[in-house]
Amino acid sequence: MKRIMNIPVISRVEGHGSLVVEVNIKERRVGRVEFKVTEGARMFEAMFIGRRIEEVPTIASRICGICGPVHAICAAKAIEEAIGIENEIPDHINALREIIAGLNVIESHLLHVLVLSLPDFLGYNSILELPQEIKDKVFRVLKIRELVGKCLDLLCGERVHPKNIIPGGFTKLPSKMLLIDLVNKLEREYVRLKEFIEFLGNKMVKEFPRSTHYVALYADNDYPITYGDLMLDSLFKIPHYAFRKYFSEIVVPYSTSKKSLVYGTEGYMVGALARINTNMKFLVSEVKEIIKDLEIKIPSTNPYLIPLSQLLEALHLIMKIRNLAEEVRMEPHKVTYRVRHGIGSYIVEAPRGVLYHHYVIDSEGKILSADVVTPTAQNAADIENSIKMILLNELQRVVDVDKLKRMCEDIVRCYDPCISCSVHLTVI
Amino acid sequence: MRKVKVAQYSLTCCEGCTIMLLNVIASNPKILERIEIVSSRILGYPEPVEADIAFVDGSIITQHDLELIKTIREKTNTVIALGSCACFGGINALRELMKFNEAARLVYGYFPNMPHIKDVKPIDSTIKVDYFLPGCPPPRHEVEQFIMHLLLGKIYRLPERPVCFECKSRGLTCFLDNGIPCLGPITRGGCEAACIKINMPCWGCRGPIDELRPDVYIEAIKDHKLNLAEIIDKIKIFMYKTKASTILGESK
Repeated sequence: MKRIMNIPVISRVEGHGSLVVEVNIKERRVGRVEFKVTEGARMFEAMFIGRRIEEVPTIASRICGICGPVHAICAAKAIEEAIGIENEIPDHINALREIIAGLNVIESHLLHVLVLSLPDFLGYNSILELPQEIKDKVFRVLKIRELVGKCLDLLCGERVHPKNIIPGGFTKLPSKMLLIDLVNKLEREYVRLKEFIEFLGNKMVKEFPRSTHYVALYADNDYPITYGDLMLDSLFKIPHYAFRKYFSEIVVPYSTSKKSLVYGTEGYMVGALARINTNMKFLVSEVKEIIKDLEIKIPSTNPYLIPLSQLLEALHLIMKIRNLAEEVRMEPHKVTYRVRHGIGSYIVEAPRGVLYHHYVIDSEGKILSADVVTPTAQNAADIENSIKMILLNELQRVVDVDKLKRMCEDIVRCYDPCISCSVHLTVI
Repeated sequence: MRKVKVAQYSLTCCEGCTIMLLNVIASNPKILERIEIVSSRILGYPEPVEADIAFVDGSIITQHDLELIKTIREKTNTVIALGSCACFGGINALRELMKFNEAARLVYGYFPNMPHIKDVKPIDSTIKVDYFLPGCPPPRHEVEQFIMHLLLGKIYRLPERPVCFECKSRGLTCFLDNGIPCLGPITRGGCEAACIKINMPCWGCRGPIDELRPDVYIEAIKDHKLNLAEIIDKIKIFMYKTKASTILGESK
């Protein structure tokens, strides 16, 4: 118990956030930068206590309305490790989980880029205000998202909160024919998404030289979403059970979210750009070509590139999912297990980056303690650093306070802190 | 024809219901010919403004939520509680199994100075709510039907049948008969038995039916030799703040 009391964790971060920035325009100095999550604390770690293990993935998916499936998968895998059956899970169940997580990543990316972030790059306030020509294109690409949602409906029962994910596998799986049918439809949309990226790609590249640490999963032979070890700056491998050793968390008085740090003091970046940095060589060749055509230097830690890298990642994942779906089996849909006392943790790549779940289970299969670290909490410190940096750059020129406000908001939105439009800004 | 002004607000929750509502609109863009979205944080209009209809998801947890919901009531004609958190507390209320300070200390390590109200409240605890659409998230076909009714000026009524009715009319195997705890008998239907279809017993995410018969349910539980305490524990996940939890909890 003591361990958890010392390591405070938030249950949920997306939703209501705000930003407080102190700048001194005359002296060109930046004071405090506070990225505040003002969302009420729901305290999921407390809710898990005393729950039976088969209930945990279903409750965990309620942490987030956008990445519910990924939370459920991460919880199921952590529990499997705790009861010691992680090596008994057949390959096709892991492949299906990879497919579900991949679909979830595409769905979230398309929502973020098209609805939340794109208006910034084109200079509008909302997707509803875009000129008709672009709006038609955006709505056409949103149909891909609807198709991805249908795949999730088929595989998990419901796209927002999956219904069939349990430790050991799934309660039930659909027939493979239905899945292949939908995935083939998805593959046909590949070209359309590619055209869209070629149409808008160059508008989504903005210079912002800076450097920071980045962390993503790495698996030697593929572009992983639900397996592999953590890789820090493409250099250091960190196994998932050592997560807490390398990444510390602090509670900040102004926010219901806390901040994650690496090396004890430094912020780091997780998410689509970190994943592309780490796994560039495993991307499909067409995505690599687009990156080359747009003259983007990888690795990069320029947050303005995050929305573009999300689109590129979505393109890559469509191909990956098609290949996985072709080979996947649907039977058996789960393995049976015996409950035992144990500790387990797992890391997956949620749409916004590294997601960590950790559970302690008693001998009757009830949760004794739970620990969840979400991607936005990990990005919080880096968001503040980026804002500081961009303000320092900007203050060298003649400045207009409204423009500064807009810039800070833009950059926070680029990081995709879930429902990022919640960012209000006060310049004191 | 004048467009109907629609607002969408989120209190403390996972915002899955918001995503659901957006999915419905994105896949039927023709709805936008009849409605105008005047306030929605996710679409870039964060300020609460005058509107004909407001969809509200999430429950009241912070002081800000409390003030916002009062503003929403003043500015809107018809307020709709979207999702279980808004209708009756939903999964947010599960935290109340533990004392607030205890939970805060467990999660944050110390009790931080944050604007919390200590209870998790559904929105009808503070304001008058015109329609409820429960579920976690509410079934998509129901949201579509509801919007249709609204645009035609009709009144939408929630189905008053239990989930068991949905199962029986689809010929699905009963979990209780197989000795697996299921909350179908006390939970509001209309979900087309989506969970049971995928072999997951009902968790009661749509809340209790209006004419709750706890005595009949308890008898059925005993007939099937199921553990009552385990079932009451399961009711708490989504229905901790509802009469189902209170009545059945007392019978223990």
